[in-house]
Amino acid sequence: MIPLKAFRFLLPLLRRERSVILIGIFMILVGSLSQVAIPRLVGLAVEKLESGIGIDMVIHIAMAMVGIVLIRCITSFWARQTVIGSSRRIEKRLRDQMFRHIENLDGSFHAKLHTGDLMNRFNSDVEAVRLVFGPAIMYSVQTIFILIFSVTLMLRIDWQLTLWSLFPLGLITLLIRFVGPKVHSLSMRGQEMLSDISVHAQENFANAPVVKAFVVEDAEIERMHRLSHSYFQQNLRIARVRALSNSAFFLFGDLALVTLLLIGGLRILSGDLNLGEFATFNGCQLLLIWPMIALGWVMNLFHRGAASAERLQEILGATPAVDDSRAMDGLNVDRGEIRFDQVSFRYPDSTGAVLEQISFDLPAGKTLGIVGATASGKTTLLNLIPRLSPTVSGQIFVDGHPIEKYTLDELRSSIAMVPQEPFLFSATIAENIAFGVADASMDEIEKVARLVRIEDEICKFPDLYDQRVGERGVTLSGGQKQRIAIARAILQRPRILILDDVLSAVDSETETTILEGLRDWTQDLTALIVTHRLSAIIHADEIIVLDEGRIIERGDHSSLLKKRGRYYKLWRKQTVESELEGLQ
Amino acid sequence: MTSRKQQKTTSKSQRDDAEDFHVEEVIDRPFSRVLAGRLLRYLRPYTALVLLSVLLIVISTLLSLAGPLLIKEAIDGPLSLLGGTEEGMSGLSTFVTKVGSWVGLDPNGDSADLDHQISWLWLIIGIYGSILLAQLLIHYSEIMVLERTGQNATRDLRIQVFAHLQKQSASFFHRNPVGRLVTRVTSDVEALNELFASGFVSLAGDLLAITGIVAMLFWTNAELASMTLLVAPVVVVATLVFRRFARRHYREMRRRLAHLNAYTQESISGMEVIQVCRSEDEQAQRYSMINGKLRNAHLNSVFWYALFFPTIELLSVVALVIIVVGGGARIEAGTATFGEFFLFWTYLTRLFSPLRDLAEKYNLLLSAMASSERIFGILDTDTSLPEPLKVAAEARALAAPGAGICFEKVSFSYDGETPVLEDISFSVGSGETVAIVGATGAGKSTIINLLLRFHDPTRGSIKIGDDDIRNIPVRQHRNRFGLVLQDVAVLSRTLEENIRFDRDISREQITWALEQVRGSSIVTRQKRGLDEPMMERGRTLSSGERQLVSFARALAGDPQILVLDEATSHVDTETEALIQEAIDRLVKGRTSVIVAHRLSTVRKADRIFVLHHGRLREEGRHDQLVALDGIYARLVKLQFGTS
Repeated sequence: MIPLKAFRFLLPLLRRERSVILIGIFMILVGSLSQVAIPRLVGLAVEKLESGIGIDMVIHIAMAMVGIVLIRCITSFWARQTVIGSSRRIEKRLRDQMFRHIENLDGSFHAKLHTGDLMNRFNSDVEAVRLVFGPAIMYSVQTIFILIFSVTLMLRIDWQLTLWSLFPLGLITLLIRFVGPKVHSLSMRGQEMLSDISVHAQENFANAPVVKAFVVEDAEIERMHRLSHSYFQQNLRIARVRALSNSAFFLFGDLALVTLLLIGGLRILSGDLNLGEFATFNGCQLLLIWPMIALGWVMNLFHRGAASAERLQEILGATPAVDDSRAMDGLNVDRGEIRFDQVSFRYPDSTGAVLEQISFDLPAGKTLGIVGATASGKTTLLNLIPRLSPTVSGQIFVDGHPIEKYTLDELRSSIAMVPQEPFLFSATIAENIAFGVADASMDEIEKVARLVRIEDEICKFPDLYDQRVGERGVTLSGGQKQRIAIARAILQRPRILILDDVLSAVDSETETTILEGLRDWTQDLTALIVTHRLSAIIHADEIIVLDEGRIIERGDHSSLLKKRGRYYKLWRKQTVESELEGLQ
Repeated sequence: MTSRKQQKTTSKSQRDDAEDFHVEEVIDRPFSRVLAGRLLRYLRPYTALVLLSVLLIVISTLLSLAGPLLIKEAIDGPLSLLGGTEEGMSGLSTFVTKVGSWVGLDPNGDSADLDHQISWLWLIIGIYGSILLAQLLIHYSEIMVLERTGQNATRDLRIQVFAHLQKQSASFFHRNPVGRLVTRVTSDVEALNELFASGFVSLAGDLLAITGIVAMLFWTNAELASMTLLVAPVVVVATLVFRRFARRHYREMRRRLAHLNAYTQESISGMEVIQVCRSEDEQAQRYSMINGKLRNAHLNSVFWYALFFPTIELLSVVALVIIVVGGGARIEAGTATFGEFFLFWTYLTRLFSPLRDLAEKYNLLLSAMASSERIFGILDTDTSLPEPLKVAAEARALAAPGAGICFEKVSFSYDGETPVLEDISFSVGSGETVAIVGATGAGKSTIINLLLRFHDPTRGSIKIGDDDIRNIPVRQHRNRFGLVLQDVAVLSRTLEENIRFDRDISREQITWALEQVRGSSIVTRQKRGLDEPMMERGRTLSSGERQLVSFARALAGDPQILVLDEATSHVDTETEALIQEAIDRLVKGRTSVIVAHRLSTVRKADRIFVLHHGRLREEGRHDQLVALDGIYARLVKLQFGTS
């Protein structure tokens, strides 16, 4: 009934908490036993009173009750601390494990799964699984124990009455089991509607000028009205199911009491039951209502958790397409010569090729410029070199060996790459520059900062190099971020330097000075430079022009200009633009 | 100002990592009568529903009080083997007797007769059963009425906030981050929903239930009641204390979770950097550390929960012990009955949940205060442009359809200090096409902003025909324009709706407009034609296609004046030709103002304005300006080079 199989891959995580969970279960056992003892003692007290034995005896019973409830409190405290606590620790390790795992997955995985989707798995799916390991285990074990103990107690008094009292409570479980998923799916739909509202608001606010220019404010309000109203109706739908089930809970809870009163009453009248036993039954029923509700709820948790566990397994089960399986030990990148031989690439599940039959030869220490429109495959080409994604066909050689022959560590440590969107972590500037270089000294950091012409700006920050840059470097300008990203790459002392349109946010003058400054330093490096600004690559040894994944022109700057093709057109356009800039 | 800012950043870097992330501002606010009063006003249109729900709550509370009484009745009546306790007949047993004689039973007959006892028991069960059914219905309607009231009020509030925001000036949207405004319309309003739906009214319900139960207990046995109820204030205090701690940890958890999420998101986006730098291990260690802080926050909160639930249980058993001892002594002394004992027991179990709810609702109220404060903050800011006083202008403005545009000595500054435009004067004749050229930051877009009255000029005036645009109602003024911006706003609606853009435009007009701008191929490329839903930001369209969609949008409204902020994005030559052709068709017969980046567009304009540092430097036709041999001429030389 419960799809336990889905959780099997999580067993190793559970195993580490085994002893804690066992203690927790023991606590639940003792707790349930003492919980059931309370109605028994009340029953006993009533029996004594009924038979007129006297108040002294009752006081003893009352003291026993206090003692037992103290045990119950202590065990219940520890049950929660252990079981729920361990579920939080499992949650933490599961997240850690997932994080480590995705770190090893290649670009094709990340391209397939959107960030938002992945984030959902880190959040709601992990939470759903945690609910299974925490509350679901706790309440199901508790329900089982309480059922066993109280039913044993009740059976010893009267088995028919036991069945009659359990019947309405069983209905509660069934009801929850039935209503829970319904409410869940209705609420999911409700959430979608709320996100429609939020998308509408977001798009409206973000495009305020257009909305105003077209004078469609009223229509936009009308649309919000419609969206809000359907959300309103959906919420009423949810409310209806909730209202029905809530009232039914009340009904069934009281129905149990009525049944007890009737059947128990008839038994008292026929002399088969005394009032004390009746009290015991009454107490047991009060005790059982919550566990029976929990039982239905827990079953829903298991089902939801199983679905989430499957989604998590999709991630944890994904094998990286890039690994060291073909690597030869001890093979090092010495010179940094790069050769592409008929390299093609396409994303999984997509038919269109991103790169097709790309071949070029880049001798060590030379520079290759890559030009092309957006989505012509430039970034993809660059990503193939550090094996961020595997090639689909063809072969890439570094120093004459296929790149798969190098360990990822060796290959990647010989490469420094600055991506198009400079990526800063929410850490200090120094930490961001030294990212990936554990033993960088402050001198070195300052030196590279000087090289990329950002030192003066850093000196204006109150905390200098210890300035925190905020989430994704929000406190910095685009140009500052780009220069820090370049500084980071330089600090790594690579053999191969890959720059993906890295200075788009600084003006061309600054770009030129930065590139000039870097020239001495990058002289011996093999460099691949993608850029929109052709002035950055006029000195490149070779330039290739990409269009829809193919090389359409190649040559050095002057030979490309002579061809009067795409490169020439781009060049003309940009000289005008830079002239416009220069006019200021 | 600067020093304060610096100070702030200094202290920031000394705090821990989580501070880098923005977490929801305030989640609690002390109760304010002013805010609560304002919130209650949203319930006013639904007074009938509110009254109905109060009525239902009163009835259902009364009915829920009946159960334990009937149990007592049964135990002291038919089930009492002592027999004959008729002397002090309560109101309820009189009622039971009446119902009995009505259905043909006489509970007052020979009480020793077993059959008689049984039928008496059945009678009580029958009454109990009917009450349960009635309760089922009332409880259901109560929830529905409450929910309907709350949802109605929430929806009204949401629409009010959104509508209010629609009236705000363009600069308001510049100042306020979109995300924060969205939060006001979504989560803040949602937070009030709970208050509307369950807060106000069921707070009354809980109080009523508590009062009812307390009254019943005292009425049944005052002495025993006063002993038992000693526990009640302890429950309330315990819950309040617990809530306070739980809330503090909840806040801490949210902060940690936000940090972890931001870190995860950051790492996923920067995965390539992490991989190329081979810092997977370091990154995972930091992740694990942040994750560990979240876990600790969770564990702290688990501790309080683990403490709270047993405490409440302890208190309930203490109350039970009081009943057992106190009740037992009185039963022995003959001043209480077993029925009363059961009555106390059953009522007690029903007293605990409203007591706990009460504390819960109090917290709900506090977070609703925080949300409502933010929402009212928005509603109380009004940055809408002043409407003209003389409405007489309306008729006149409409009467002049082909009017030209005239800028008279217009100066403008966004912040009141740095001038963006200085002393700009020009006029555009009806049907004329002008191009504005100039470097980034020369003030080209500002001219558009002023023309559409997103801002009013600091000095000088803008006229259309003879009317100062400040004297024309804003909507009427803007209705004349068709606007195409550089960043194309493709919304997540269907292609057709994106072009219609909520205006009253037929499908034929849309198809026509698309044909005019040579964009029909976009439709044929979509699987579902015009009905194809567009992705966020029009991801499925190419940049050229997005541009054509926005052209079609502007054209479909058949505007008198066309305003284009031409795109500079890297479009290939083929698309560029397509767009140029579309522009040619757009401007035909319309007054057009084009902020131009491509010289091909500029050349075809009737007149060209060259802006430089906020001033109008050159003006004239292409060949005139070339002959002038100024700024413009230099651009042209570069563009066409030796050819």
